Amino acid sequence: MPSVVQIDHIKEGMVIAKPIVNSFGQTLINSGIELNENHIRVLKTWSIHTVTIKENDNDEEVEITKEMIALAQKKIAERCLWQPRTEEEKDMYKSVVLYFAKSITYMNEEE
Amino acid sequence: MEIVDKLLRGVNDFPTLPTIYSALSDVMANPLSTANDAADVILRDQASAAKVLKTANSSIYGFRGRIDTISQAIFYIGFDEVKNLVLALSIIDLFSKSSLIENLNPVDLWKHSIAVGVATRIIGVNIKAVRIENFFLAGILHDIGKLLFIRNMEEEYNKTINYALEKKISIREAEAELLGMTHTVAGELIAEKWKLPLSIRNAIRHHYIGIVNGVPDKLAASVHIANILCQMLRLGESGHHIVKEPNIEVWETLNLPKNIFSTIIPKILSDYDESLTLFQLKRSR
Repeated sequence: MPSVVQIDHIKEGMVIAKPIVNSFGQTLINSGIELNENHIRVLKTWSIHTVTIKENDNDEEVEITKEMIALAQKKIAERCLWQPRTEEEKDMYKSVVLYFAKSITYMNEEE
Repeated sequence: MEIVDKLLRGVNDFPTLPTIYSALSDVMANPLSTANDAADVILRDQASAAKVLKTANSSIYGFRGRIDTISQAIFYIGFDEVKNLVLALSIIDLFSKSSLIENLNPVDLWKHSIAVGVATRIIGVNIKAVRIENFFLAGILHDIGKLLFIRNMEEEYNKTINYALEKKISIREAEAELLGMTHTVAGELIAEKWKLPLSIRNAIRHHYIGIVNGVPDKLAASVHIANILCQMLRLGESGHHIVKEPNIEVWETLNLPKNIFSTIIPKILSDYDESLTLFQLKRSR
């Protein structure tokens, strides 16, 4: 299992397991990258608090848990007060939920 | 009504389109013009020329790193597309200089507009729409009417957004009630002033419903869905905190390929991201 490490505890040479994404959705550092001093400075500039560090070779796969999906659904439902009706709407809604679930995995919640 | 008068005066005073755009339109209207004539017009404005090249080489058009000259850009992505791109770029410039109001930062509104531009174009490509060159521009311009309000009645518009939030109604409804004019109508007036093509004017005017006076319209429908999708994805900020339900009729108009959203969302995100860098809107919040 990958482990989530706080920014103050990361060390050079650790390998990122999940892409680190900023609040604009841009990937700052991709998975598989070995951290160096400059990376750590970038992360601090972007106020990233924790990163996911690889512990064994299978750790790069992103797992999206039911909890993350539920959290993403809740966030979207706060702003979309409608239920998807057609196939297209269901597809659109589901895809947005997945996108948010992934962002929850990748980054710390800002709010 | 006083506010409407003020807004109509605001439309009159609204910036005109840059001369490069009208010069391009003139070149295009002349059947004897060649791509080189058009390239010459663009090259007279070096700043625009550089931006056109950068954007033509971005993933938005998919010719990454292969276009070296404006003539090539015209050859690869088409004359109309380059012309609309010049227009989009100058409008983005105009708007990024706009002042800030409390409830709606023009930069966020602009980011939202760019996201909708990118998404509208991607939807257009996926439904194999004709006149695809209008899709990016129509998406970019769909909320241009809000800028008229921000420029001419900052305080009243701020109140209008608050009112919409309090009453849990759409901004459009709040505008109609408090200002006597909606941003969709205001947007159409600006588009008329700018003599933009009818299809773009219609898309601006009817984007909230996605059909044009009861007639299905692929461009208006694409902007309608792109707008909702970008609000769901929280790309930029349009002042609406509540995302409207799509008009169910537009799905038939669009006839999108099955399960398309999981494919187009990553493309929208990466094109959006690239556009913000291109248009230098990054890092402002």
